[in-house]
Amino acid sequence: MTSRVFTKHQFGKETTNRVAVAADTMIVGGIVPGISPDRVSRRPMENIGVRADSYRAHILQVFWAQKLTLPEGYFQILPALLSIGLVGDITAVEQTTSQGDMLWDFDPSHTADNSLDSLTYETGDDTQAYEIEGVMAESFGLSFQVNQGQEGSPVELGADLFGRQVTPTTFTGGLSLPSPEPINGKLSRLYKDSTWANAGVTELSNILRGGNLEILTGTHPKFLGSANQYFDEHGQGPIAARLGLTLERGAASDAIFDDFQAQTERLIRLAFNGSQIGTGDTHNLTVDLFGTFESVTPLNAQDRGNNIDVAEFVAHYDPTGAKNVRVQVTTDVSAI
Amino acid sequence: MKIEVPKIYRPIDLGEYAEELKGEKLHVWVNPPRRLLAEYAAILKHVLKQEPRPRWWDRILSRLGIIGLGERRSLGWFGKVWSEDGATSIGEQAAVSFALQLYEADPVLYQHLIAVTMQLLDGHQDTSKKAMADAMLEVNKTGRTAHPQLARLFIARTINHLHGGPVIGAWDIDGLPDDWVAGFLQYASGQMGAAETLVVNQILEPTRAKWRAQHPTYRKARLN
Repeated sequence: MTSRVFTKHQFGKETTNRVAVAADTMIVGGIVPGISPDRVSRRPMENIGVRADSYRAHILQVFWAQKLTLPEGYFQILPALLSIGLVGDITAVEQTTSQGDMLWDFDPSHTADNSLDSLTYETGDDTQAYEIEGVMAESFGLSFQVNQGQEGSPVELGADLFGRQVTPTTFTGGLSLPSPEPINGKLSRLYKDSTWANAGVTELSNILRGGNLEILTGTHPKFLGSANQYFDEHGQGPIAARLGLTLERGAASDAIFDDFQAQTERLIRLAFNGSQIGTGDTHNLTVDLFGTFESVTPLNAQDRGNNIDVAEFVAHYDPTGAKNVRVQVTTDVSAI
Repeated sequence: MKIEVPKIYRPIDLGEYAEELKGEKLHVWVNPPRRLLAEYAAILKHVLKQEPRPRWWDRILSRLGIIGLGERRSLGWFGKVWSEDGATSIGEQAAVSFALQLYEADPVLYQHLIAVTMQLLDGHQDTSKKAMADAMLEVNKTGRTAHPQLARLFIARTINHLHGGPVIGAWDIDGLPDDWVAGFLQYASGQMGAAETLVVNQILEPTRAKWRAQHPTYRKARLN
């Protein structure tokens, strides 16, 4: 019997989309999910004169899709997850000379190709490893609650992944463990402004108790007639994003209710800071969304005698800024 | 996630049995914990396994105020769910005395009380749509619920959240040892605010699900 402790998953960035490469980075921060089946066994219903529906089974198409969830999210994994869904082929820019504080600017084009990257994902245990090539993300999300006690407030990261097929293989060995910098929900900051130029100027302090971001990247597989059972290309449809907020009730949350009623367009920034990288910038995740509040529910709940408001912000395209969402990551990873 | 489940009492109006008893009430604790329900099931199982005795023997015993161990345990159990004031149980000893006295004075009323008590207990377990709707409203307003199915659902969600993935369904909760459930809830209550968790799950998720479904590409290549 194989012990769970020998389970792991890792990935490598593909030089050419959907052409498998050896893994070079381990994934940490959560349990390895079960490996979803990549094929559906078809058993045609047929009338064959006996008391049975079918007498054969076959596979016509293969496709792998799975949710990756990292309950203890960390900054170093963000470039990989965002580059396979939102924008790829990013060149990280060092912010402070020789400090390795690399800024990854995921600023998707809404008109041109976003040069998405893809990964080869290796998962399994010491009994058998499996490899999936052409892995991309249909969604990217994060959620957190600012804990009201001694327990920490980890930020959970999630991504809906898809890839070509599951192939038994052997793990790329010898990979070193990463040095993850945790994303801390307690260090989350919320800003509300009106334009992209002013993003992050006006902070709503002492209000944020939790958040739930979901970005549907529009990235999808394309199955076209060809020599193979797996998908041939990828495409990118509309990018959509939502941010749910749980807010300590006060004047700031009440102003958000006014924004909702008037459908005032806002630029909402959700940011998380980590420790300083060398003597340079801190680890950072900044998400900017332009749009309006779709719903605000004042007095929706109470916790420890404090009223809680709930707001759902929905991003829409801003012709001036030419986008609806932008994600920036600063971390000590210079390449995926 | 912290869920406080209050004791819920429902009255039995003895006036429904006889006009002369109008105004007299006995209250029934309709949401006893699983442990107490299991205790009654075990008592019932024990009583049913016993050899039936002649009726005349039972009559003699009851007139002498003597009852068997099985019956005593059964009546004592009702003492845990019966209440005079709708707040505190009358207790095992008082229930046994009350039942013996009633059995002699009016055996039909005694049977009526047992039957209505069981109806109230069963009826509370039988969740109607209205009860569910009311419970959802209560959750949204207070962050609490006494609804048995909803409570199991929230416990399952909490356990799944703590595990970072789906590991248990609401229908499996009753199979978990009580100390495990208590441990999970205790851990979760320190990790997150109940209100916030409920808020995100209950308020935002239905809209999110619709939004995802309407997106032209998201998960459209999957079977489920």
